[in-house]
Amino acid sequence: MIDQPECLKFFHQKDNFPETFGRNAKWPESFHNRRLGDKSFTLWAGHFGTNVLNIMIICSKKDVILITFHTEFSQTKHRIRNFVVFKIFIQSNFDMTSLPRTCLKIFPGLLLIIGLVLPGCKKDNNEPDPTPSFGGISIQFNHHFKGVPLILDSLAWSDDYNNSFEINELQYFISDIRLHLHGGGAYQVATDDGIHYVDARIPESHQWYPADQIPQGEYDSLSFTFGLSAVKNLSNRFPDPPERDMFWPELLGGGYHYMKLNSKWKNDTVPELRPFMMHLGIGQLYDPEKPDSIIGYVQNFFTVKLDNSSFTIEAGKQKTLVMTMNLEHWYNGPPNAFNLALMPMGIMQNQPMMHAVCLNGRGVFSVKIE
Amino acid sequence: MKKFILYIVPLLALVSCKKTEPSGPSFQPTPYTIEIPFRFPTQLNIPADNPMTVEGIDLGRKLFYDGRISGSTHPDSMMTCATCHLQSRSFECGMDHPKFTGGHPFGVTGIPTPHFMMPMINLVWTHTGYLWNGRVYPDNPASGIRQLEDLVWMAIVAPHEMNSDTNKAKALIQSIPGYPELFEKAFGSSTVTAKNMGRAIAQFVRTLISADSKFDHYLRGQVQLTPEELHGYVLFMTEEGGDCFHCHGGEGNPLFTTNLFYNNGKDSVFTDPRDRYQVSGDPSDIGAYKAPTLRNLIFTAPYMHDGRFKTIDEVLDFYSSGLVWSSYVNPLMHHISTGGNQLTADERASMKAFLLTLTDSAFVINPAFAMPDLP
Repeated sequence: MIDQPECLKFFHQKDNFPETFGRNAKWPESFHNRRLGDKSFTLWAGHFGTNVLNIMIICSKKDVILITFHTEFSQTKHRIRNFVVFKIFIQSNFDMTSLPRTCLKIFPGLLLIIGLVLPGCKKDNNEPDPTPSFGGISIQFNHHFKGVPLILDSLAWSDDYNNSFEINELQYFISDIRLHLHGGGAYQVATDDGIHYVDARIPESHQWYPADQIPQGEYDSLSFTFGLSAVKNLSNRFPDPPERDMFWPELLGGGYHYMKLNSKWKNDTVPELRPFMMHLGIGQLYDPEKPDSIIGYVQNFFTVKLDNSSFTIEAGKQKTLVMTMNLEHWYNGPPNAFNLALMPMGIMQNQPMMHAVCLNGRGVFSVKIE
Repeated sequence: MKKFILYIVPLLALVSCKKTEPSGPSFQPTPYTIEIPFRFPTQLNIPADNPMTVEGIDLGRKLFYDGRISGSTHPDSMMTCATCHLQSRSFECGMDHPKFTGGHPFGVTGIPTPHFMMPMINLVWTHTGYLWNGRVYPDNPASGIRQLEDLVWMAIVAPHEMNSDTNKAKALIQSIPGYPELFEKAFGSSTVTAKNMGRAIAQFVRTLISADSKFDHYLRGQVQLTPEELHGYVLFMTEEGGDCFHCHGGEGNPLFTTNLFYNNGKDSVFTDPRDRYQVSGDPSDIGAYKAPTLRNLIFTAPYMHDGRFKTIDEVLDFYSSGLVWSSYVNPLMHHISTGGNQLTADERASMKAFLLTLTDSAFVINPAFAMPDLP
């Protein structure tokens, strides 16, 4: 018998998980049931978007085998070419010795899916591809408060209610940066699995140099996921610091903090600095009759779309996307203006508050192309 | 699926391969590979100029336990690492040390150490500097105070430790039959140097890995925690409970420390010249110290940098209702305005039950870490 932790090392290290599930992908109940330890076997056909096809099998005993098919596209100068990507991911705690038996169980479903997908796949025509031309991008992350560069630990900021405060820590993930082509289609940054971690105290994290070869052309806008999508927000995917220290407790939903924004505030009536931890991640739904009982989880990640960000990628040239987090939006909105004096000291077990903060988050970023 | 298995099997085999080739015909130390425990970090802090070898570890273990490393053979002035770092106490000295009453070590001249002891396990995953304030770190402008290796010469010369000098130490070790041969095997030279003494001991210390507690078995799905332990675990992992995990890790960080520095609300006046501020120069680090691992807590009393808490119960009482406000308290101590997390007596008992699941009893009797036969 293979030693379970040893055999799983490979999968942890490979981190071989699908990159794209589409922004509107809906997750089956069984995925959430996995967290609750439910035993289920589910065949599920999910979102069929314009560019992305997701089909997933979840076969669960203690955990899951997750098999995905999705279309990806490679962008050349003149056309988009679709192809099908097939990936298998074996989630942790899966008993490898039961793999053959499990494969037999899912085999009929697998055949069904292959039958659904393959007829829809067309081979490329025989014309040779025009020589693809690519450029590159680098991304710079800035942090401002009302137009002023952030200074940590400085009691220099205020909310709309005249509470003054200092910001002590700012750490967050962004992922799935998509560059939207003029005329349709998009290119999604794939370097580092499309995930980047930013820490205000780690200057190196303020620059990201994706290795992606970006097809040349006109781009209208860019978008990205703030935090990590449900597909990517996998517990234990980052074993090492600093990303590791963003982990979100499993019983609260698992995965990672999307953001830690730690601050301390005071006002005329509360002269002693008091902490406020604006932590975002998977939210929980609590049973109203048993307040300690979690009955569901909420994926709070959200898409930030920056419409006024047109730019051109030229072959062999580098563009810098300067993304600025305007921190006042987290506190003052719109749409929600928070009075720090009335806020709880932490919100990671407060889904309504996390939701309200996430609504503000959609307007937090601005971008400039250089 | 068959193809998948065909690909995976050789890949798994590759992953498990270890380096075995020697580096030369006359000097052929045997490479030593640290097996990373389940869910532990993958990035090890092993300096490029001191790779782990079986011979280096063996030599380091002997030096760790050999009082002559202090450069003295007189029983009154002999001191070694193991004088304070007892395996039975998870390589701290413990409250019941026969010499260091209350767990506060002192050197051969009787001068107490500036701080109480901190954990010396799982240091191969420390990247933020060693000691309570992290003053031994790779970018330190002081070139001899950068790595785990450097703590050896520092201990030899420190007045509150061996109060000796490295020339005496290396001369004495050189004169002991057997040691030159061991240095030759480990480092390719029979000449004893302070640098190689530090390298050897650091190699041994990097093998002190504790990852076999009940909680580790729980993570691996091998045992279940009791209801009380699980209750404590929930409190440990929730912001509205004890909120311990932000600084001390958990299932996502099984080191049970971030190895970062926090002012955790113990005091309102700060006079210690060895806090984190003295290293970083950042005023927000005033009164801050490294969060120690909580593994093997049962063996490692007293607690905190100044050993002010003698029992786990005292620590839990402090975090429950004893926090002291200052403007330097880390914002993660968000219960500060209510004096603590206000856990009830039952909740504190559950928390303690959980903390005791971090006890690795096999580690403290592992013969690989015990005192060896000395030359």
